[in-house]
Amino acid sequence: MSKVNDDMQRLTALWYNTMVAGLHLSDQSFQLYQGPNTLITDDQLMWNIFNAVPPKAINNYYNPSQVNNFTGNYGLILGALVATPDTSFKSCLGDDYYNAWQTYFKDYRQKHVEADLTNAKTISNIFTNWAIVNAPEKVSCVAGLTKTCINPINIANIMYSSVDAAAGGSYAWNNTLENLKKALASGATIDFELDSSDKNISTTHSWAGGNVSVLFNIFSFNGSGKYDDVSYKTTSEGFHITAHFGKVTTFTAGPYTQHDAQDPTLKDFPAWYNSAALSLAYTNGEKVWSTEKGKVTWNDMFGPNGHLQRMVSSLVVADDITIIMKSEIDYTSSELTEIQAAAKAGVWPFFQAEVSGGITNKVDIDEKGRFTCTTTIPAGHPQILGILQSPMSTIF
Amino acid sequence: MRIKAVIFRIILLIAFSEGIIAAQSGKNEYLSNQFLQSTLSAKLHLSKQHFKLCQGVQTIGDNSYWLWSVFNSTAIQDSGYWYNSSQHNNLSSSYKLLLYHAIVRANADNCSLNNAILKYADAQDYYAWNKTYDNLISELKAGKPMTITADTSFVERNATETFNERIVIKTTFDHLAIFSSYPLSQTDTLNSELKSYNPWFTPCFLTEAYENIDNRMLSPEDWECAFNSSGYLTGITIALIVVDKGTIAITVSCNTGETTTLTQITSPIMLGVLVSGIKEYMR
Repeated sequence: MSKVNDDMQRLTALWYNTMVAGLHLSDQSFQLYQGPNTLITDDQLMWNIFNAVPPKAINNYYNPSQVNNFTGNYGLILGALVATPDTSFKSCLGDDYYNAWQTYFKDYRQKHVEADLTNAKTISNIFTNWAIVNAPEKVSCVAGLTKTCINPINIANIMYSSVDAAAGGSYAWNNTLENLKKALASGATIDFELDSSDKNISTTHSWAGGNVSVLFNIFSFNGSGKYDDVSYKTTSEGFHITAHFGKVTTFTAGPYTQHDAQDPTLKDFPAWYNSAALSLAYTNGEKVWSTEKGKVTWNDMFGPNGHLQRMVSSLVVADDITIIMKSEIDYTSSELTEIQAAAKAGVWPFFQAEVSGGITNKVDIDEKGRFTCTTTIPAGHPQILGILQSPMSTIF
Repeated sequence: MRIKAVIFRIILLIAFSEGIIAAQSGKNEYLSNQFLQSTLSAKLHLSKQHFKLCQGVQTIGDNSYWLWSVFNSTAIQDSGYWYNSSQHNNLSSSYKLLLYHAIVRANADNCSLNNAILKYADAQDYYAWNKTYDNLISELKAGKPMTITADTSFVERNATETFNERIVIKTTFDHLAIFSSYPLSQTDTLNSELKSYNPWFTPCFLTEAYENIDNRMLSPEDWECAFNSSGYLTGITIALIVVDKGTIAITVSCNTGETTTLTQITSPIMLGVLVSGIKEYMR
């Protein structure tokens, strides 16, 4: 690995461990968020983040048009599930009673075209009235009829397909940006200090097993070889971090399961998700999956290299942030010049910050040649610090 | 104040004044959070196994829709101490799958499968719990203040060094409530909000499905898919531990210095969640 790559990994790991330790997060679920929009501006953008399937790494550069997403995978799974015909009603009644009922019911439908025969209570009443007269010992078989009204695969398909017609293809989550703003306003204040050094550069203990995405457009040092030397020296020898988060919240949302008629945003979106279908797909092995060519399989989705390994459960968002990094070592004057120049363009971990989001970076140098870098993000510029991911195996 | 991160080392546990904490197998978790969970469990008289700590600052929502979404989530809760906040697996949906898989029999039981199905269908996709957001706020306001001070000391060793470490936790909360709620199984005409919701849950059905005597309710295969250790219905959210206004100060000290993490709470937050395995829930 190149020295630059190595520097990027060290910085990323250091920031990851700082966040986990200081904000009371689990290294078994937290993932650093990096992306073009650390400031969420609308519901769809927020839902897109919840929708993305996180890769196995302690950090992820979020791609707004990420191909591997939850709703797409869920749709593929629905298309591959087999709705096995339910024969419990016929088995319960026996052939003679079943044929008699079929004859009666056919006649009933012709005479009562107005009856809602998809309604469980209606169909229960029709059968019960017939059975009391014609098959009194079979009255309880009615459950075989009514349970067709709650067929999870059928319902899941209807709900999922409702999105195209009603919401222009937009899949909602059950929480909104407005609620995130409220949550952040009610968030707690967290202050902490931390010494960085080589000993907390490792992330092998984390859920991602030490995988770090190296993303130059985020942790960029302007390609300066000299500054790479400075960054390596800094991360090797360590520095002291003092952090103030004026408001912090862990904001949770799930796929939209129940319609929320009271919410001014969600009332316009159809509920599209039915976890029973995913439960069925995940826990029943291959028996509920179609063997038809071209359909996805259990292994395609949930196997070792499957598309749906984990899901985003929560966002960790903060506002009113001050991060002070104080070097513990001496720098030469030329190194300090490099650091000051880099600070103008944005300092780790908030590169490009001064361009957007109201972030400022300030570097002070003391008489011993040590620097203190203060990054300030004023209140009103909330930042997504990371996400909490939940592996499939911990959900179903 | 300086924080010394007590991570990335093998922990040798010597003694604790507040119960025992131990590094989890295969993980290198942060002992201060583990100690916080252990301390809160003891002070609140909650099972350490069932009390799960929320990550970060889990602020609460502002309506019953939010509240019921939290209770409805049934993510598997492992042996760790963190709360899994995923809402991808829902009790109301898993319950529907159980109803659908139930064996239809001509000889009726006291607990009618058909009545359970009709009740579920009658909820019309609105699944309420038996308490509302207003109930939560009322219980929280009436909740008593709580102050906890606890400390623990231990020795940490790596290949070359030995560290004497100490963790001190000081928490104060103006109000604390353990807020439990159950799936709505009966019409509640007295509650102004709940009276507009139909009940959907039939407790005796879930009991019969779980007990499954003589495989009368579910096939062995369907029972396994639902209730075995990797099934879709293994854990249920039974209570939220909510606090309002206060501080959590965690100080970690060792040979080389002392540091503190301070969390100041000004609005209600979920400190943790009480989850139950399906077996305990049915008992």
